Amino acid sequence: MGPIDLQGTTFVLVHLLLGFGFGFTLERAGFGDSRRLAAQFYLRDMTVLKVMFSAILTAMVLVHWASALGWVDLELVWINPTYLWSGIAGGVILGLGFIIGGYCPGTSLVAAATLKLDAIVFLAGVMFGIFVFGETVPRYWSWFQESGALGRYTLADWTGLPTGVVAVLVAAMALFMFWGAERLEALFRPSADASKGGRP
Amino acid sequence: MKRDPEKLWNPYVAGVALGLVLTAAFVVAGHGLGASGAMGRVIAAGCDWVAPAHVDANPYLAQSAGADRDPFDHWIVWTVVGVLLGGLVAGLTAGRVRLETLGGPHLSTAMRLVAAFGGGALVGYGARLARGCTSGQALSGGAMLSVGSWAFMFAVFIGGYAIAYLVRRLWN
Amino acid sequence: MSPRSIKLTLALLLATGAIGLALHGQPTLEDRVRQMEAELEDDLREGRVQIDPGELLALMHDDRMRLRVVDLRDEAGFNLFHLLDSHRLTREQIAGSWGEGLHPETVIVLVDRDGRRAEWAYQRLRARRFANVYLLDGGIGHWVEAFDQCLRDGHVEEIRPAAYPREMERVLFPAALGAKHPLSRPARAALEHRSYEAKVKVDRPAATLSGGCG
Repeated sequence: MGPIDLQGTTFVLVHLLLGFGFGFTLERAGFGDSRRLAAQFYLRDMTVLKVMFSAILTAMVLVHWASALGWVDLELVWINPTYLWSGIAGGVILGLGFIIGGYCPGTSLVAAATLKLDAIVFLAGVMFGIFVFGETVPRYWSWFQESGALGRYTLADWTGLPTGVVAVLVAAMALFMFWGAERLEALFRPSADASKGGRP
Repeated sequence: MKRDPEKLWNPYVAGVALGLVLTAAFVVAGHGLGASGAMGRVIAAGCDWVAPAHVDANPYLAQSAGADRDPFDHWIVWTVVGVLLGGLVAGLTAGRVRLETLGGPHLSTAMRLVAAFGGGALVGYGARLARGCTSGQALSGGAMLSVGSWAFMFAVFIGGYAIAYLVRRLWN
Repeated sequence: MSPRSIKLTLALLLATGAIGLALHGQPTLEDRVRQMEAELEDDLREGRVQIDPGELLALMHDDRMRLRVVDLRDEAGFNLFHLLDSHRLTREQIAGSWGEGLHPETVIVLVDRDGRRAEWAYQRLRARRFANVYLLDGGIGHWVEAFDQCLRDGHVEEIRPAAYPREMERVLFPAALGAKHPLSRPARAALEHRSYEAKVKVDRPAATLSGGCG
């Protein structure tokens, strides 16, 4: 039963492979191009939303099925602890940076690997931002550590609904968002724009 | 399926593929993916090299590089190396590896790079404040239905859409 | 396959998968206990996780040890006497969300009257993936026997070994002293004459080894 306590070379290999799959898929989704990433926020190209939510849904369904069948023990799986306020604040700031810089950390790695200069500079900026964070966070450390710290807290815990029911609701929401995204794209995309490939 | 000369995948298919990688990560390794954490560790390592006492005294940096902790002793370092390789190979096989700057049609290269650095700084700060980025928090935490991760995800979209009109010259 | 049929197929698969999840449900704590049954039985039968009172006392005196002593007896017994810094927990708490915020390297020692109720709790806590769970061998009864020297130093009358275990409580603890009794935490010196096989190993559970996005 997963997860496996990986050691040594296997540990390194598994993570290299996972990263490879991650980076390869991101590139093939077209995320090595900051213009496509930014277009999400102008409603022209909703690829970011489609890829992200498809990925989340796929993993959500498959991992929880694996748990239901006893193939993985979720008690041993890392679930991001909830730090509500710093999470939201960080998210907004990251969103601002995303539309200004045109990347998020993962996609900037992929773009940098394909020698996009703006991505390389973006990464330098990320490092700088992290450095500034490291130097400033001690000033509000207790807020950072404690505010909205709910620990391991899932949507199922929050709503009191069984995990499977939450999964259905999340899936329904996502399908609705996909439908909405396609409508928005049709509305905002200039017609006969063949250069933005990869679309159905 | 019609052959796509640009070798770009249908976004839903790409998403499912990404979801499969994510699933493998959870079931085999017990955790999701990530990216910003590795960059944080590079910074911590750099600070530790230059000013180790400062690192020990800083509660954030000490977590990854304090005392005799090795900041690179973490799975995310290997994952990020893999991401670079995967992106490179995918780019090479699609003919998309080219030294260039991509940006809005009416933007000078210089301005684009300034915006890239500034945006990057905000992204870096926000990612560490949120304890993760779109890969580590939104994708991984989202799939595991963590409340904080979903809140983060919506916050990112709100942040982006909020000033999209203001910065439209960067992209349009 | 046309893009439209790709979308429809994926959407259908997703909907089916999600609805199936809702119908099938996730494993409960009892399911997990059953999955781990063989391993847990083995641990208990081989005596790997039952620790001597001497070892528990050593842990209590070890400042670097993150220790939680959990008492599973009923309230009356607990109020009569319990180990210093021990917490009384009910079955609901054991099987529920108690201990979620504990440090992963915390050593949990389960204490009951004679060691039997602790086995149920042991299985549940291990199924909840606490990494370091042990039982006090022989429970409170054995603890008292082990450190009866404390008693002979003038505080209470001698133990009558035959009066065990409920009668012993009444004899020893005529008043509800809780943790104020010297037996709640015998001095370190009491370890001098006690030898035991040390069984506690502090393990870090795998989930926290991986951690999040760095």
